[in-house]
Amino acid sequence: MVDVGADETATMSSTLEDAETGDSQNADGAAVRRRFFDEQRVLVAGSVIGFLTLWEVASRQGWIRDLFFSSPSAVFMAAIREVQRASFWWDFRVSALEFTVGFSLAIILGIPIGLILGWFRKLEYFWDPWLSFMYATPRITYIPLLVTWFGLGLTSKMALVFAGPFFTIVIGTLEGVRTVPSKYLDVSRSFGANHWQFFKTILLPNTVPFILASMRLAVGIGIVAIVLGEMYASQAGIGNLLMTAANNLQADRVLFAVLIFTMMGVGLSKVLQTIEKRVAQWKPEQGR
Amino acid sequence: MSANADPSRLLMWMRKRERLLLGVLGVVTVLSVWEVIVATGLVRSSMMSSPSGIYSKAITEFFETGRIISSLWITLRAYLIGLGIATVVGIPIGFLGGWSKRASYLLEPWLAGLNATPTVAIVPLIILWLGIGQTSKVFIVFLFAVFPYAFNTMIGVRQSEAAFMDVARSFDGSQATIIRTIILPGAVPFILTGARLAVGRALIGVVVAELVASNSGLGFLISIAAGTFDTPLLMLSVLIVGTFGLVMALLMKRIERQFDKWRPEPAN
Amino acid sequence: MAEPVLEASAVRMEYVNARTGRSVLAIEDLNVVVEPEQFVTIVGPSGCGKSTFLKIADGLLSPTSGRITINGEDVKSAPRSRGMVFQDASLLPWFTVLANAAYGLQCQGVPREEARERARPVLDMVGLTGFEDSYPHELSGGMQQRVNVARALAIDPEILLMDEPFAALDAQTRELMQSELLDIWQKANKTVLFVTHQIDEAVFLSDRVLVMSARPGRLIADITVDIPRPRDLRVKREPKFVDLNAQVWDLLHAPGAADDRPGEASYVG
Repeated sequence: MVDVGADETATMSSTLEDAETGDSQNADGAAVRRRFFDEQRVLVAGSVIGFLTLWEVASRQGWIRDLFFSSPSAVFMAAIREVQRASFWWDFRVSALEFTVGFSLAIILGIPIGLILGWFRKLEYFWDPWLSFMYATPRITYIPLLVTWFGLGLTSKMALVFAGPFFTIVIGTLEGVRTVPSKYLDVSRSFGANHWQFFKTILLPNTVPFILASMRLAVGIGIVAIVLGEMYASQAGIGNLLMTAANNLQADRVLFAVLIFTMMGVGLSKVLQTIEKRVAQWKPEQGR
Repeated sequence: MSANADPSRLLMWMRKRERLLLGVLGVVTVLSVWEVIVATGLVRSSMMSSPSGIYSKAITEFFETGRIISSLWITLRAYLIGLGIATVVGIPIGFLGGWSKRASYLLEPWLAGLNATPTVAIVPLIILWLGIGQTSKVFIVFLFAVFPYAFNTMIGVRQSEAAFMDVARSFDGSQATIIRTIILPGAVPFILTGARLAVGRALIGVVVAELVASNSGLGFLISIAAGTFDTPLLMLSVLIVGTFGLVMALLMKRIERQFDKWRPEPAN
Repeated sequence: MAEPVLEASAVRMEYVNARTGRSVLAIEDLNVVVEPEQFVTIVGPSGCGKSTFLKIADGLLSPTSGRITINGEDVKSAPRSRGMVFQDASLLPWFTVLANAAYGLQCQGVPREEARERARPVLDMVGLTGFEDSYPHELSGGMQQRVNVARALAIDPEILLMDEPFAALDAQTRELMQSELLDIWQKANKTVLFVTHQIDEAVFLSDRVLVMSARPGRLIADITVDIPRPRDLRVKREPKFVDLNAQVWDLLHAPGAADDRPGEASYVG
């Protein structure tokens, strides 16, 4: 059975956060921490600024072709321009809608199904081959199929966004259910808890971190899905904007669209991380 | 694990193979239902092919046109080359990012940021830049795969260093020895995670590249099938890509399990 | 003589390895009787089946043959009659200390608020006043075990089953906990069946020490510890204590009683 690597996006967000707040794992004294903080901040900021500057210069000097690479200033200008256009906001709403519906459906259906499959082992074995297969197939391969079924409208994108995260969440939830440490099972049985009590007091709390972690992973997958779907099978949406810009050789707009998607992904990830922290405050370490 | 003494031999065998049997049952059931749905016209055959339809298409393709094999081969080549380069480039970069604090400050935001960016979105630009053909395909695969490698290796080296630095410091060995014998082995589980993710992403990369910017390979086959409304071929190609992905995923799991004994965290 | 609280007759436990098909005899033939308000310990080398026996007594496992009753009722059908203190504190990490202590009651259907109210005094009894709202990971090993004990005590069981509860603690904490356990036991007036592989712990705590052989486990001896109560840790230096220790040690290391694995049953002199 293919497992969901819950490590990936989780580690990404947490290290990003570390980089921003400057919290160091090794610092033991306040003074040391502050010094660390500064050095880290400076270097991080420095490398980002340095890269951007280099890029800008390279573009202006003609070392790299504007057409393909654009420049920070151009992207910035494009951003300002786009944000003022109604068409952009229309595209943005389309993308947001497609993503929200698809992803929400994935959660609403995925979690219960994952719980059921985790609980009834025989059911899980029954569905395992298909689950693994669907999880391992890149979503992009479904695009032509989904277009055949649903056309180029919103539905096909929603279905695409649904597909990836759904299996991710099902598998993640499933794993969470299965990895309830046996000692908790013993405790509940010893004190005579019935199935429902076990579910409420042990299974659910134990599984929630897994669910949240898989949701974070699913966000990344969902974003990829919507980008792909809108780029190649759509007439609206940010991805469509991207493709149009690419076809018109407008690298600045393309990069702007990339930025939007990245921000969507990171933003959602952060939201989930906050929820995770709030709900899982009993976990001694979020340690990675 | 433990059960009270069991009378029937067959039952014992069945219990052992429970997972396998149920899985097979699952596959057979879905295939049958699928066949029935299409055969009875509940779903139009233009929308979805039945398993038998796909099968006959497969036979045709294999023996008459040979398209599948050649496409698979082309895809496989680009996939492996791109993945290979990503491995060779990604791991050292990740190592650098995890080992040297200075380097990590410089590299980390980029690695984390690029890991979070949907690489798919940059594909059009790459095609503009490199054109259609093998080079851009391999480059795209490389781009998709390199970030999981680099990022996870970085995390792994960092973890390893944090966990084992005291041990390492108490030895008088040279940097190289320490790295080789302590840091690297400790980072292996994370590198393997990176590999697993890279393997998956590389597959997405190669399919994207072929769908969009190629005239050969499985992805191209898919786009043709879609264009000519050849649903059996479409589903067949999807099936092949999916199977390939599954095989790679299972392979990675095997490999990871081999190294599971090294994992620093206790298993549940 | 009052009715025994716990009675195990002809308990036998055999495992069949589903993979290889071979059977392993864990417990051969155990007959155990625990009188009311007694503190009885089963001591034996690791792997001798004593934990298995306790799990059977708790209803978690079914014996291959034989049965265990608590106050006449078969153990499987009466979860309220025994409270198990697990080796690993196995506190639910997402519940507070108070919620954990109340968990046993909750499982038995007591409404949450009432259960928590009833658990409070028990937490006081084990010395954890003020920690009700802490989470398990904030407590030390010894404190976690106290919550463990509180949880079992809160349901007011007929008998307390304790499965090497101090095994994971460091030596000094372990000794302190032994002494405290006796305090709590005296206050709560409970019957206890305790399991350990550490001989001095067994002798210090109990009225009777049941010596169990290595696998397949069977009872070699039933030793009465007639050291007067209340006992404090200094008792461990007295000649009577040392004697009993040696007695048990000899029994455990007699030929045929245990595998010749050095250091299996620890003799702390």
